[in-house]
Amino acid sequence: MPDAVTHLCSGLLAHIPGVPAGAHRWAPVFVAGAVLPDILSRAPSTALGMVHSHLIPLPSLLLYCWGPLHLPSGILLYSLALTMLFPVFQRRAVLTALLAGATLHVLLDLTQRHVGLGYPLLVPFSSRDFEWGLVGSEASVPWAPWFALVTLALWGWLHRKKQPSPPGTPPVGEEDARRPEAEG
Amino acid sequence: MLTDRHRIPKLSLLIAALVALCAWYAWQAQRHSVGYARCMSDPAAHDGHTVELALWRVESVEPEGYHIGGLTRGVPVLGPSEGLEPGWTVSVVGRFDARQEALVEQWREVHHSRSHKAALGLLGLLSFAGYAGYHFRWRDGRLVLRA
Repeated sequence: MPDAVTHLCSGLLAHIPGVPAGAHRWAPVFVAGAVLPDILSRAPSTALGMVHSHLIPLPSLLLYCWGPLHLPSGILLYSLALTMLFPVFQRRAVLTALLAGATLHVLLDLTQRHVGLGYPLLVPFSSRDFEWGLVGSEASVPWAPWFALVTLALWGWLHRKKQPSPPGTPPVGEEDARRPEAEG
Repeated sequence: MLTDRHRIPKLSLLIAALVALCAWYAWQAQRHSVGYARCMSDPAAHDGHTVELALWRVESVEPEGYHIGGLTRGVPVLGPSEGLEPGWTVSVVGRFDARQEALVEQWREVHHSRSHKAALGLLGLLSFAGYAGYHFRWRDGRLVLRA
């Protein structure tokens, strides 16, 4: 996988050029979608792997179970679960933004090559793995700091251009939460 | 699906499906993967099997090979060790030799930037935590986006 900074910046940058103003509203959700596969999958598996090899042996189940959170089936399930935490009228947009961000993440990861398995994208229906294998797994490291600087500069510039909200404007969630909620 | 009707049962079902998927994946991974520990559980049966170890840390370097550690520690690898240093991260493909109870290196890649990538991972995690903390709020049992 590219490093987490590259995923974070790619999520932020994907919402800058030529994106309609309405879509910017969901930028934080899109960014979350672009970062969550690594946070939910790589972070716990790495941490538990270190505990297992340096402190106390852990059950194999705990060490190997995190993979699906980085694959389409797991991403779909946790995105749906997260979406249910938002107000009803935001859920369709939130789910779209989460899945779009995760798609960007997976596409970036597929450009890499790994020893052994690539990404078994169709789990649990097939264990056949796939990756394009265009670059090494640390290829993003040298340019990640520059990518982060460009992202920060662009976001700083955009925020300076952005008009402040009029006083009394409710947060995005509150505004929608006041609407009557139609039941399906 | 995305309405509030039966919200808690739907959430519970999604979480249960996710846990089941993860447990099934772990079971499959253990059943199909051929690692050094599995080879050592029955060396004669696994003689000649190919073992792929991605991103393992070099623990020690000897003239005739080196030892690496990941989920299993102290895995002996027979092969050229010139230029290797303890603490480096390597990916190794090797053939299990039952007589020597070691992997005979067939292919190796040294990941020189691994520590930098780990540092970037931590930085990205912390940056996202700050970003999410700024943009998301928990209010009246719902996640809301800050305007």
